[in-house]
Amino acid sequence: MSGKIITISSGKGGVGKSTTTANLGIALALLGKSVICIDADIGLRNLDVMLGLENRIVYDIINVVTKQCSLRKALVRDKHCSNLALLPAAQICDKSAISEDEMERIAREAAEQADFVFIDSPAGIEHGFRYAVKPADLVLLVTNPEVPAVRDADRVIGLLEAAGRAPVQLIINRLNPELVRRDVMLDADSIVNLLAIKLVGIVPEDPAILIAGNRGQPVVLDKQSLAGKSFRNIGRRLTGEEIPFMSLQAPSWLQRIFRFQR
Amino acid sequence: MNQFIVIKGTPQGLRLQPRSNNWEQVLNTLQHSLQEAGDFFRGGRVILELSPQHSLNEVTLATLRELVEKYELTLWAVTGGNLKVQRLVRQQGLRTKLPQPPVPRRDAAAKEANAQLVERTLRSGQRLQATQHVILVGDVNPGGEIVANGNIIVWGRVLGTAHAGATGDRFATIRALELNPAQLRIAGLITRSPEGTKPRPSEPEIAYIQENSIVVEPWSGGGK
Repeated sequence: MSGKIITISSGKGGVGKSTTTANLGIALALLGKSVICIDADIGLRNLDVMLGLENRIVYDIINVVTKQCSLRKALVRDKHCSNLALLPAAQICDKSAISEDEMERIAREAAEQADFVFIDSPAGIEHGFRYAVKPADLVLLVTNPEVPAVRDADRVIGLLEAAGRAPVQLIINRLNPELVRRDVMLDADSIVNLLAIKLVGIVPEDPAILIAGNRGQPVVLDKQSLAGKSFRNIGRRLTGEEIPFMSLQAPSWLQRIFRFQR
Repeated sequence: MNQFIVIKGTPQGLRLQPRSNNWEQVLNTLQHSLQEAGDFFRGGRVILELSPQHSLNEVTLATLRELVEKYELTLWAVTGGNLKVQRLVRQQGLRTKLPQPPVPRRDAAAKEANAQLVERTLRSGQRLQATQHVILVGDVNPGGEIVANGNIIVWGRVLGTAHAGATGDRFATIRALELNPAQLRIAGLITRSPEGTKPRPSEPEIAYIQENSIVVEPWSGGGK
């Protein structure tokens, strides 16, 4: 068995790569898939915090690279889903501690053991980005509806295309339908139009995401949250299901009044 | 401007036009102006433009030379002045006449030049450079750059930067189905979109040089 390796990347920092990785990892695990999440942000790890697994880490990816322990031994089992495991980044090293080939070897080995391997890429377009996308079968590009984030996403797509790398698909994170309606935020259509790649999901802005990340309880577990539902839908799309996009459009004041009357 | 000296930046170089025969004052004023300009003029050429009434001796010329070189400029030519001045200038190995600036004209060869056809999207950080004309089927995204020595035709949107006539052809044009660039350049001229304006309704447009500035107007097909 060889699972699919999916790298979550963005170019710009702070757009929600680790949040997306954590939530998609759990979303697929909830669908019964076996999943391994690799935190490739060596030196600045935080995927473990988002999953609430920080205090369970014994070994990390550098221990595996230097063959101090096996991959299986370094994996931390998730506390929410038993079929999800995390390969933590090392915190005491930096990105030069691992080469593109070593990352590829580890990702391939992980793919032998799981249906899906997610690699949480560091921000930027330097070495960390390059080793994170090297083994990918698919790159999921996370962007926000902001001009600088979209510009960086465009740059990353250009780099991936030039290198003849894996197909790239888009996740728009932190979309605020109310701001879009007021015409002060980029809408999904114009982002997709500019970047010209396939869209796999739109995640609305939701304070629950922030709270969830702080608590180590990813929002995808929250049945009430619209953002959580978006991540669950993206997870199902990654398994090949066709799921229609939900309407995120906030009702206008007129619609609100009519609803009130009814 | 100034009662002692007028300074003009031109494509040929920095033109100095003294308004007085009091060289001490003239050079003092010049020094002040160069000081204020910082390194704005650095690396440029200096042209001293004299009227027949001006006198200029060897010492003054040497002082002027020293002064401009201190600001990393090169004294290139001294024009005008009487015969005696001209002889002195020639002795110093400087020009007394400026070469005529090349008159831009539509080069038959350039008009016939081949075009390169490219079908892709120029994304942020990507640059397409063509030695002749270029036809791009796709968009130039913000942060992308398309450069050609000849004309540019974009069958798509130009949202980044386009530079036609990159080697100096002032007859070069930029045509696009939608022209909303960060910057347009033709030959040595640069223009940018007015700030804070909403993109106009998209219609094909053409940009070309008219009387030393870049104009953009609807492209109704055919050539300019």
